[in-house]
Amino acid sequence: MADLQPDNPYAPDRFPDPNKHVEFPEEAKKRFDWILTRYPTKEAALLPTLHLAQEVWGWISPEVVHYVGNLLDLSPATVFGVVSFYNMYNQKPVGKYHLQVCTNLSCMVTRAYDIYDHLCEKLSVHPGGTTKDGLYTVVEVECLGSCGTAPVVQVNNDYHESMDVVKMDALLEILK
Amino acid sequence: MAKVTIDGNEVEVQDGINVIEAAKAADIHVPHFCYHPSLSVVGQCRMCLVEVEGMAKLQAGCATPVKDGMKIHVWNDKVDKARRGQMEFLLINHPLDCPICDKAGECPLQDYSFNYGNVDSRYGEFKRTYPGMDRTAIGPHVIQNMNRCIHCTRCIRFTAEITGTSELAFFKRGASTEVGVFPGTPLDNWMSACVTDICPTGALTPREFRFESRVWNLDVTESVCNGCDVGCNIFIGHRNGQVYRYRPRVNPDVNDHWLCDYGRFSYEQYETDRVVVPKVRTEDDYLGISTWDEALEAIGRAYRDAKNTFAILSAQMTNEEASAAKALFDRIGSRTGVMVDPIGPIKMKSRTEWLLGTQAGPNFRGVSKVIGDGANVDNLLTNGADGIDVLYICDALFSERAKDPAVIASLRKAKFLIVHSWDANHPLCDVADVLIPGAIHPEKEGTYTNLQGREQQIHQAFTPKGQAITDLDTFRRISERLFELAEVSA
Ligand code: SF4
Ligand code: SF4
Ligand code: FES
Ligand code: FES
Repeated sequence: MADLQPDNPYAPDRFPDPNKHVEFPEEAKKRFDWILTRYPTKEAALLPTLHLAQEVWGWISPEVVHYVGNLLDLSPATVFGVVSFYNMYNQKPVGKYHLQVCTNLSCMVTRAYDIYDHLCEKLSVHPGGTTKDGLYTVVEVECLGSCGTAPVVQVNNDYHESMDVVKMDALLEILK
Repeated sequence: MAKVTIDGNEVEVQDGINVIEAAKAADIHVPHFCYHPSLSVVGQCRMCLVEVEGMAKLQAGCATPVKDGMKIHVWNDKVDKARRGQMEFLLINHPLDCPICDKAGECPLQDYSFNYGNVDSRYGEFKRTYPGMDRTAIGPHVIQNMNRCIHCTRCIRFTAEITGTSELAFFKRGASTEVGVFPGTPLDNWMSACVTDICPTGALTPREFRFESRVWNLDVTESVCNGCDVGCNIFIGHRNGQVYRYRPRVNPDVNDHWLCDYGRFSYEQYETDRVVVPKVRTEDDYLGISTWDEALEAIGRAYRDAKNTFAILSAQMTNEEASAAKALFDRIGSRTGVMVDPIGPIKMKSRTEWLLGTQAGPNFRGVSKVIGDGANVDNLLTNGADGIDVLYICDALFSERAKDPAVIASLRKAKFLIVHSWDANHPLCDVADVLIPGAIHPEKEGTYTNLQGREQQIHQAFTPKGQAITDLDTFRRISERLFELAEVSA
């Protein structure tokens, strides 16, 4: 099974590493406590807790799934069900800059694939891959809800609108 | 109460139950996949669509509570067409590999696709498959073939609502949605194999029964599990004197739709050498094969001038066997006692409450009631059977302790030892003076009294192996030999 999914940290035969200690740092703990106060049940706090975890570690590793499950009294399967449902939870480590190129309709007709292919070539990564230096991850995403200013590239949490290849190159110069 | 008309039949049902349940009262079957009477309603499969007069659209039968005066159509053209459409969607991705599927023959999906499926498919694309997930062991007892899953979530709801362990969940979304376990957290709970019963397809099958037999080749006998004192109702699936599987038999008051794994697979203990002939110890201390006549003769001789006799009954006996034994041993003047091993506790969920099985035999309560104030067997095991002339052990498996060499030695202190056993490998067999072949529980007819005091019937699935007879017959033969024949010759 594993050979079918060579780079999947969640392949069925790759168990969470029990020796890896995962715990929120103090500041995140405080925010977690605050999140808990905002929801009627612990289960309801799952999404924001996962966002918090992603902010802390950059991605949701199998160990984090266990940790969050323990925090919220949920089984790891339930937590991972949610993680794998939403695209915005990273199931693999991502680079420092997560370049998310929208290739949905409006962006596509305004040549988003030019930007996407250019990025992959320039950074020499496979679609969805991360550069060797761990700086950039390039992925293709569905509509970012900003069709009026297509094409759109989201870098981590920021939108860069009305992009083209030249602007993208300029942006890469800044992101180092 | 609500009066509703279902396909022209007027029935009176409880207010607020759903259409599927109401239709049952009218003896009408509403096809469905995701609805299960003991799980929450999710309305996910849309197979249960029915027409309710006065409502513009078809309604999901599982999620529509009945109201007084409702007129419901389960079988008409409109509903039929919807069902066909629904089936077509479900079969887009289903492999329909029934010839190599263990569920075939008892598979709702197969039945409905027989009724509603098209012979040929209008779907031109490739079927979705889950590479590497077609024979995945997701737990010690359950094998998953994700390609066959129709995403009804019954299994997920079972682990969430009944066992509360939530090992199963949906991963990913849309067309790639899969039922899975988290790596390192397998589907390993005490009732895990129940998901294979409730799965309406061959996606989840029990490892122990996979490819053992086609289900239509099995004979089915109603019985009761003898694993513990809950007494779950079961169907024994068997053929040619061999048990292939136990399956839960619905009883809302006891086990509802469930069985624990321990009980479900407890028939595996019968896959061992059986005692099939009586044996008697000869003068040169050899336990040799004998005829029934010789064995009974030996028993008769032993009891003839015995003063101090003791009989250990077993929690595995039926009430009828216990009564027969009690009558026999009272007439002989023998003391009787019974004991039971602790187990678990095994949790079992009836429709309304959790039952806790704590005894490793199905009928300790029934047998103790028959015996009344019995002698203490525990003492006997610990202190030894010194001074006892004849010790009669009605079932070698009356306690796990009887496998302990020290206990065997202390039991052997009795001058004469009679043992009933079906398990030829039981160490007590080797030390007996007379060994009587016993019957296993699928070979018996009778009743067990469970922890609620409910007397439940077990039925004989097949006749005892070889020259073995049921305990009932054995006690009858012994009492004939000891009393009737004695009277005749006197
Ligand atoms: S799950 Fe049912 S319909 Fe599917 S292959 Fe098996 S028997 Fe056939
Ligand atoms: S595995 Fe079976 S029970 Fe579970 S969702 Fe799929 S079809 Fe339903
Ligand atoms: S299609 Fe790209 S933002 Fe909507
Ligand atoms: S049984 Fe009603 S939607 Fe599945």
